[in-house]
Amino acid sequence: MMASKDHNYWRSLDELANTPAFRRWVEDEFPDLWERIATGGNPQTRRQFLKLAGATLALGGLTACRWPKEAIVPATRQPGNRVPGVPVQYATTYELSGAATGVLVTSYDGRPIKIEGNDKHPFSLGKTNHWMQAAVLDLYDPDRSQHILQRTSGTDRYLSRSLDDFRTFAAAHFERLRAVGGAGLCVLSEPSSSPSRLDMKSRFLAAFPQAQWIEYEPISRDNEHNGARLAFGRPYRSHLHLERADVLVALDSDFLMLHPAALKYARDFAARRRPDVANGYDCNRLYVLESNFSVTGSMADRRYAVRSSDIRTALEQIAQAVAARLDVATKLPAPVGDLPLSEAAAEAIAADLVAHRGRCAIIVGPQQPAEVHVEAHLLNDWLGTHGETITFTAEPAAERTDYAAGMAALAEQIRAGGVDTLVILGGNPVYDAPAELGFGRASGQSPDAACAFDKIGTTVRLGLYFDETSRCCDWHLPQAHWLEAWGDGLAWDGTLSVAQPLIEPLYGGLSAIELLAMLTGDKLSSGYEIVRRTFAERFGALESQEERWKQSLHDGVVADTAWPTEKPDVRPVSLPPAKPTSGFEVVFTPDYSVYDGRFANNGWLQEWPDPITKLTWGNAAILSPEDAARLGVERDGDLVAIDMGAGATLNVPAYVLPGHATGSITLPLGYGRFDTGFNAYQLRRSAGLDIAAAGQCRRVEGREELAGTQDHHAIRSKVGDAEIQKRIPVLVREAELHHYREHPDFAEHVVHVPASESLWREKEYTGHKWGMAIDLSACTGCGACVLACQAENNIPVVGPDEVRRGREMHWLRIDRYFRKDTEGAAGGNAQPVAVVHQPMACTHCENAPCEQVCPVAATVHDEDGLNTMVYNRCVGTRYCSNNCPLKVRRFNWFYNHHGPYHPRSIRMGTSPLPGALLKHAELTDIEKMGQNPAVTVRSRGVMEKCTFCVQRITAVKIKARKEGWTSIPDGLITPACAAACPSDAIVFGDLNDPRSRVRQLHEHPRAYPILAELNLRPRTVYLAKIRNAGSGTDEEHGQHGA
Amino acid sequence: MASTAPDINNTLETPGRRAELVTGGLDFAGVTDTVAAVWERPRPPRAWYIAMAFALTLLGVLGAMILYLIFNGVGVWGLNNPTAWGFDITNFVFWVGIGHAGTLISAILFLFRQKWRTGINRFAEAMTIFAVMCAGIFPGIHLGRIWLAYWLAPLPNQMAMWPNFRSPLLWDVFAVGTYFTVSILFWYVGMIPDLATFRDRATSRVKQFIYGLLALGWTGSSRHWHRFEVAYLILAALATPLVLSVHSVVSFDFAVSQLPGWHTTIFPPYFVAGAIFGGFAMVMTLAIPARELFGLKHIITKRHLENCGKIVLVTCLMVGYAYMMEFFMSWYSGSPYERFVFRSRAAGPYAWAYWTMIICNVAVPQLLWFKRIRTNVWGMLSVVMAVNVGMWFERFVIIVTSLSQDYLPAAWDYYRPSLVEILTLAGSFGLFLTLFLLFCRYLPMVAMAEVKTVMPQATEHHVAYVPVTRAFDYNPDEHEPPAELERGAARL
Repeated sequence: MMASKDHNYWRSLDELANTPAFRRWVEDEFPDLWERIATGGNPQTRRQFLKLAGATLALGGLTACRWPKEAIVPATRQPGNRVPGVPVQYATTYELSGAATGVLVTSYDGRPIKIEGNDKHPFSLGKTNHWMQAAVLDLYDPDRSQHILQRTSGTDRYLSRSLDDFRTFAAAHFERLRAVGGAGLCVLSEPSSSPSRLDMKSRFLAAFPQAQWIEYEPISRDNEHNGARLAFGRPYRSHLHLERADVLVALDSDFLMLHPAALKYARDFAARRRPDVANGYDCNRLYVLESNFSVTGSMADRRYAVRSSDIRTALEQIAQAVAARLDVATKLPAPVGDLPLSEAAAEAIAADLVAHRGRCAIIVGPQQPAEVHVEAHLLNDWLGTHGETITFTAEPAAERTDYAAGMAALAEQIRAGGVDTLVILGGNPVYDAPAELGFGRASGQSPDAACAFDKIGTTVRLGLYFDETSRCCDWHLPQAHWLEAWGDGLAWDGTLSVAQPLIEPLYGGLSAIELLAMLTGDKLSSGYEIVRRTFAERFGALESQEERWKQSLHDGVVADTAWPTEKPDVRPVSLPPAKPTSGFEVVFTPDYSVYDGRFANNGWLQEWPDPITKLTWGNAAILSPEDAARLGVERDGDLVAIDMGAGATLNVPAYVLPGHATGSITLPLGYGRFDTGFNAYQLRRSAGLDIAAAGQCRRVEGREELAGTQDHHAIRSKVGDAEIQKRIPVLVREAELHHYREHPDFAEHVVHVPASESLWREKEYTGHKWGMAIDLSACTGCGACVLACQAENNIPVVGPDEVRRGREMHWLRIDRYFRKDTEGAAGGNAQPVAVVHQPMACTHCENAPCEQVCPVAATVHDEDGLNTMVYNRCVGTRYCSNNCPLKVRRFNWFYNHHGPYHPRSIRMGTSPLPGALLKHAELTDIEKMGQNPAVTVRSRGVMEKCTFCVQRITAVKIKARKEGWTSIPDGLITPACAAACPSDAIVFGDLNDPRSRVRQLHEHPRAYPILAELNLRPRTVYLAKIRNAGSGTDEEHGQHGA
Repeated sequence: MASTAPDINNTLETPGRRAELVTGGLDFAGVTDTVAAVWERPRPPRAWYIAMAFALTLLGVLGAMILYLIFNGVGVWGLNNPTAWGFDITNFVFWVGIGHAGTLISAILFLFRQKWRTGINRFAEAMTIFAVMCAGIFPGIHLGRIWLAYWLAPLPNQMAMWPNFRSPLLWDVFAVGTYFTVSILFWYVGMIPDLATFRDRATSRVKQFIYGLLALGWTGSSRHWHRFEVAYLILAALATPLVLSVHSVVSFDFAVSQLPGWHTTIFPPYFVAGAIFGGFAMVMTLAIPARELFGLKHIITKRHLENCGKIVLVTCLMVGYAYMMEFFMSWYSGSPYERFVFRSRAAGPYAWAYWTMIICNVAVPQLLWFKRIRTNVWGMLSVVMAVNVGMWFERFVIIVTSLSQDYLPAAWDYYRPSLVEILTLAGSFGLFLTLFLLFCRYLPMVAMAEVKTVMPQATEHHVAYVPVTRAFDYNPDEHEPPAELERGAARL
C-alpha cells in the first residue's frame, strides 16, 4: 500500500490483502479463522475470504477514515521532572566551525523549541548568538532530507531505500575495501572538534590503513594556523583576555561576531565599556583597521578603512612607530608602497599601545595571510601581551595541511582515477570547494553536465539536506541534526562538553559517528554508546565515572578540561616584503546570516537583516561610495560585473556602504542557493581564498532589487539624508569619555523637555512595574536578540518580496545609522563614518499613543504597565501603528503561516493569482512542532508587537502565586532578547523592586528615554553610548582634549 | 440629448435688477416639463448608456477588487510599515469631503436664503449621499479582519465590550453615520413634492405605484406644504452643523495623533474648507456635463455655475492660506520633526505629489478671478477637474508623507500603491457614477418645487422681473417695459 500523509490507498483488494497490517488485523479479529487460513486450507478459499474481508476492512476503513484513530495510553508512572505542558531544559552542545559552545535547550513535551545559553559553559556564559537561536528551525525544516536515497546507476534518478538496504550494501562494499586495506577509499569530512569523531576517525584509519581522511570547510583559520607555525615553530591557538585589555587594535578581525569565542569576547569587551563613577570611568579603546564594515568595526572608537591587502603595510607602519619607542631586538620589514595610514594615525596608535604595554592586544583576522599573523605575534611580544591579554594553547591536529590544499590534492587524485570510494560527511563541497578544482556541478548547470565525482566508483554522502553535493553522489543518507544526536565537542579552549539529543531523529537520520561505526564494523552502533566509550577512554571506566557523566550531562560541560596554557617564544622570522597590489581586491567573507551557505534554507536567518547592510534574502557586492561613484553605480542594486580573470565573471548587484575601503570589493559567501543572491564561490579560487587581488569591476546594464529593511532608496533624498544626520545625536546619544566624565548626565540634556503637569491623576503602579534598559555602549548590533525574539514568539517569515515592500515582521529591530564622524581619523576615506546601533522594540509607554486610538480597544494597558496587544479583538484598522512614534508595531498583511504569498508557497509553485486564491502550502505538522505553544499564532489582519515576553512573565507570576512567594527575585524573568544578548546590553526587571538591576539602570545618569518630548513615558530607557576615541598630541584626535 | 439652445449669460447684474435664475422664458409648466423630460423620455440619451456602460464596468472592477482583497488580505495593497494607510484612507477622506458641498448647498445656503441654490441642490445632495456611500466603503474594506467590522458599532454584546470612545475612528463612525442618515432624510423629504409630480405624470401603472409609494400620499394641499416647509427648515438646521462637524471629526483622525504633519490644530477648519472646495468642484464636474446632456441649461444656468465658481475661488484662497499657515506653524513650532516633514513635502521623495497639489489647488483656480473664465463653461470644467485631482492629492500628501518619514529614520519607507489600490479608486468612481446616472434617470434631478419658488411667477410682483431671452441690454432711460413682458406676464 502506498502510504501518504493521511490516507492509505490501494490499487486492488489483492494488494490490500497482502499487507502485513491487514494480516495482523485478521489475526486479531478472527483468531480461529486466521489459524485455519494461515496454516492450511484451500488457497482458493483463503483468497476468497481475504478478498471479502479486505472489502470489509476497506469499507470499514472508509467510515473510520473520518476521524484518524490515534491510540492514547496514559502513563501510569510519569518519569521524574516531566509534567506535560511544563517545559524542561536540557544541556547540550552546539558546534560551528570546529568549536563547540554549550547551550540549554527548552523542550516542551519532548520537542525542543528554544535555545538559550548555558551559563556554566565558559564560552556561552548564558548567552547565544543568532545561529544558535535559528538552529531550531533547521531541525524542523520540512526540506531536510527524509529518506535514504540511492541513485539508479547510469541515470539521475534516486530511489528511496531503507537503512537495511544501505547496511547490506555497506557491509559488502566495505568488506571488499577492508581486504585491500582501504586503498582507493577516501573520507571527506567537515572539521569537528568532537573527540568521539576523532576517535572514530582513528578507528576508521586503523580498519582501512590505506584510506585517506581529508577535512575541508570553506571558511577556515588556516592563515592563523600557518602564521603561528611560522612564528612559534608549531601552531598555537590564541586566546584573548579582553577584560584585561585597555587598548585593542583589530586588523580585519571581526572578533566580536565571527570568532568561535565571539560570545565570550563580546561579553568581556562590553564589560570594559561601561564607564561609571563606580569604576572610575574605566573604558577600553578599540582601533579597527578593516576593508569591510563589520560589527567589530561598528564598536570601534577609531576606525580606519584600509584595504585588506594593505593591512600588512598598515601593521608595519604601526610596528615601525612602536619599535621607535621601544628597544626591540628583531625588526619587522619596513612598509612599502602607498601607506594606508597617515603618519599621525600610526603614531597615535603606537603611542597608545606603548602607553598600555601589557594591557593591550593586536588582533588579526583569519582572512589575513600568514605573514600578517607572524608580524602581529612579534608586535604583541614587544608589547608584552603574551601571557597577559593573549595566552596560547597548543593547536590540536597541529600537522594538518590547509583545507584548500587537501581539496586540491583530492581533486588531483580523483582526476588520476585514484579514488574508488568517497564518503562525504556533512559539509557541501560541491557547492563551496575552490572553483578551479571543478568539483561537482556548479549551481545552474544541468544535471547532465560532467561531474568530477563521476570518476569515482561509489560515493556515499551523509548530509542534512539533499543538496548540491548529494546530487552528485550515489548514496545519500539523511544526517541527524545536532539536536537529534549524541555527540561531544571541545570549546575554543578545549573544554569538553557532551551533546545529548533532545528528540529522536525525526527522519531516522544518522550522525557522523554512527555512520563511521557502521562502516568500520564497530561493535557499537548507537551514538550514545560511542560517546560514552570516548568519555570512558578519557576519564576511566564507565562504572566509576557514572557520577561524572551524569554531572557533565546535567551541566553541559565537563569541569576542568580546558587545555593548559603555554607561553611559546616568538622565533625570529624573515619575511618577504609585502607585494603592493593595485586595482580592485576582492575579499570573500562568510555572511553573517548564512555563514558559508549551510543556513541558506533557514528562513529565519535569511530574513534576519545583516547588522551593517540590513540586507535580507540575498547578498550584494559591497563597495565604497567613491568606487561606486567612479563605476557609475547610482543606487543599491545596480549590477556590476566582477571579473577575476580566466573566464570567471559574475554580474552581481552592488551595495554602497559608507566606510568601506576604496579599491576593495567584499563578496559575501553562502548565497546562490534557493534563488537567493549570487554564488560567490564561483569566483573563489585556491590562490585567493580570502583576498584575491587583481579583480576587475565595471558597471553593467540592469539592476536587481535588493531586499533590505532600512534605507530604502525610494524614500531617500538630500533633504532626508541631511535630516538624519541631525537626528542621530538626539536618538542615539553619544559622548566622548572625557565629556561624560565632566557631565555625567549629558544624555538627559541633549533635548530640553520642559516639565509638564498632568491634567489628571496618573496611575500609580504599586504591584509589578516591568521595565527594560538597553545599554547602547554595550550593544554591538550582533542581532542575536532579534532572532531570539523570533524563535520565542513564533514570528513568521514573510519572504523577500514582502521585505522589499517593507513588511518584515520582527518585533525587535536594530536601527543602524551611519553617522558622519568628523572627529575620527580620515585614514584614506573621504567621509569618515561611524555606525551606531539602537535596538528598538515596543517600549510599553505608560502614556501610549497607540492605546488611545484603537477604535475597538484591542491594545490596552495591564496592571503591571505592559502595553498588551489583544489579538482576538483586533480588527486591523492599523491606527495604532500610525500613531506609534517608534513604528514598532507589525501588521499581518496576509496569513503569514503559509498563504499564497509566503515564500514557501511560492517556492512550491502556487502562484499568487486569483486562480490559486485559496491554495497554499499548509504548515506541515513538522513545522508546527517547532512553534512555541505558549505564544498565540496571529491570524491575518491582526497587529502584533513586542510583549516583553509576557508568556515568560506570566509563567513566573503563576508559579509565584501558587507557591506563595513574597517577591519575585530579580533576574528570574528574562525576555528572550535579554537572555540572548551576548554583551548583556538588555536588562529587564521590576522597577518597583528597589534592588533590581533595571531600577539602577533607569536611575543611571546615562539613561534617557527615547523621544522624551512626546511625553510617552516609556518603560524602556537607553543608556547613552560612550566612545573613547581619546586625546592625542595632534589635531586629528581629541579636539576635546583630555 | 444635448441642448442646442444657446447658453445664456445671466451672470451680469446691475443694481436693482437681479438676473433671472431660470432662463429661456420658462414658466412653471416649462420647468416641470424640462425636468420631467429627463425621466419621461422612453429611452435616455445614448450618451447616458455609454456613460452607464463605463460606470458599470468600473463598478465591476470595484467589486472584483474588493473580493480579491477580502480573499487574500490587506497585503494585496501596497501598504507597509510605516505607511499603514495610503490610498484607502485618502479615498475615504476624499469622498467624505466631496459630500460636504451638497449639504452646504442644501442646508446652509437655504438658511442664507440664496435662491440660486435651487437649481443644483437636488443633485448636489444626491452627490453627497453617493459620495458618502463611496466613502463608507473604504473604512470597511481597509480593515484587516473585515468580517468583524461590526465591532466598531456600540452594540451590546456577550463580551461586555464597548468600543473605545477615545478613538477618532469611532468618532468617524458616529459622524459619518449621522451625516449619512441626516443627508438621506433631508434629500428624501425634500424630494417628496417632486416625486408626487412624477407620480402624477406617470405613464405606467408600475411607475405610478412606485412613485406613489415614494411620494407618501402627497396631495399638494397647503397643509402638506406647510408641514413640508417646516420639516425642511428643521432638517436644514440639523444638517447645517454637520457641514462643519463631520469633516472636522474626520480631520481628528489625523489631528489627534502625534505624527508630525498630522498633529496640528489647523486641521478642522482646513479640512472643512478643503471639503467645500473639493465638493463644489465635484458639483460642477457633474453639473456641467449633466446640464448639457439632459437639457437643463435653462435651469442650471451660467449664473449657478459662476456662483459655484466663486465659492470655489473663496475656498481655494482659504485652503491656500491654510497651506501657508501650516508651513509657518511648522517653522514657528521649532520642532525639528515638524519642520522636516514640511521641508520634505516640498523637496523630498514625494515632492511630485506635493507640487501637483499646489498647482492644482492653488495655482489653477486663480484663473477664476477672471470673469472670462468664470462664464466659460468648459474653462470652468477644466479648472474644477484640476481641483478634484488636487484635493485627492492633498489627502494623499497629508497621509503618506507624514507616515513615510516620521520620528525614527530607520523606519522610513516609501509607499507605492499596488494595481489593486489604483483599480479600487477607479472603481469607486464607477460606483459613484452608476448611482448618479441612475439618479438622473429615475429620480427628479432638479428640485422643481423649489426652483419654482425663485421664479418671478412665484410672486405677485413678477412684473418687476425681466425675462432674459437674449443678452441683456438694459437702458435705464427707457421707461417702457419691453414688449416681451406682456407675454411673460400672461403665463402662469
